Amino acid sequence: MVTRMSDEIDDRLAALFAEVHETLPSAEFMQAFLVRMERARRLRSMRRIALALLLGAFAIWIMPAVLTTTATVMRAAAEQSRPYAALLISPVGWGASMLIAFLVLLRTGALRRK
Amino acid sequence: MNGDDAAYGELVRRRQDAIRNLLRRLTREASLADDLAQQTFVHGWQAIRQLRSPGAFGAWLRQLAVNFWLQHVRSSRREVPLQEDSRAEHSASSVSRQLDLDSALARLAQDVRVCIVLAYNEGMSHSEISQATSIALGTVKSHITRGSARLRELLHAYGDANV
Repeated sequence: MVTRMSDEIDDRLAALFAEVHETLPSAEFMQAFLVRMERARRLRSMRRIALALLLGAFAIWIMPAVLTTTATVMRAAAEQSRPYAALLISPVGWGASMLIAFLVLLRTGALRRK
Repeated sequence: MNGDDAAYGELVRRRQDAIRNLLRRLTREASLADDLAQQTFVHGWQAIRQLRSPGAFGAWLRQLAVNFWLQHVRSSRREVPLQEDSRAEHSASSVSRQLDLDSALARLAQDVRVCIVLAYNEGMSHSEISQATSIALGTVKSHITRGSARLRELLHAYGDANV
C-alpha cells in the first residue's frame, strides 16, 4: 500500500483505511483472470482472422480492376516513353531515376529510423 | 501461454491485492470489485503497448480500474443497498470497521468517494487524483476536505469512537 501523501490528509482516516486493507487470496482470482485472458486472446485471434479474410476478399474483388488499370497505364507510359527509352537505359538516365527515387523516399520519410 | 503472458500474469499476481482493495472501497461489493478488477487486468493486457513507461504500470492500472468503476456506475446507475443489519452483528470486530467505512463511503457522492478513496486508500496527492480522474484540482481539494468531514461525521454516527 502506498503511504506517500503530500496534501492535507486526516491521519485518523488514513489509519482506518490502512486497517481495513485486506490481504486477499489470489488463487481463485488468478484462475478466473486466466480464463478471461484466454477468452480475450481467442476473441482477438478471431478478429484478426476475420479482418485478414475481409482484406483478402477485398483484394480479390478489386484485383481485376487494378490489373486492368495498371496494364493500361503501363501501356500508355511505354507509348509515351518510346522516344526516351534509350535515355532511360543509359547510365545518366539510371542515375537520374535513382536520384528521383531517393528524393521520393526522403520526402515520404521512408528512410527515417523508427 | 507465452513468455510475455506469463510475465503479465506475474504482474497481475503482484498487483491484484491493491486493485481489488481499491475497487472494494469504491464498489462496496466484493464480487463486483473482483469482476471489475479482472476487466481492468484483461484490458491492461490488451492495451499494455500504450504504456510508455514501465515504471508507471501501477498508476496506469489504478487509472484503468477507476475508469472501469466510473463506467460501471454510469451504465448501471445502481448502487448496492446499505446492509445496516450486518453491521450490528460484527460491531466489535475489524469486519465491522470495514463495513462501517464502506457504508460511510457509499453515502458519499461518487466523485467525492473516488477522491477520498484515492487519497486515503492509495495515498495519491491531490494533483495525481486530478490527473487520474480528470476532475479539476480545486474540485478535488474541495471534495477531499468536505468528504473527509462527512466521513468523520458518518463514522462517528456509526459509533466508531476512534474517528
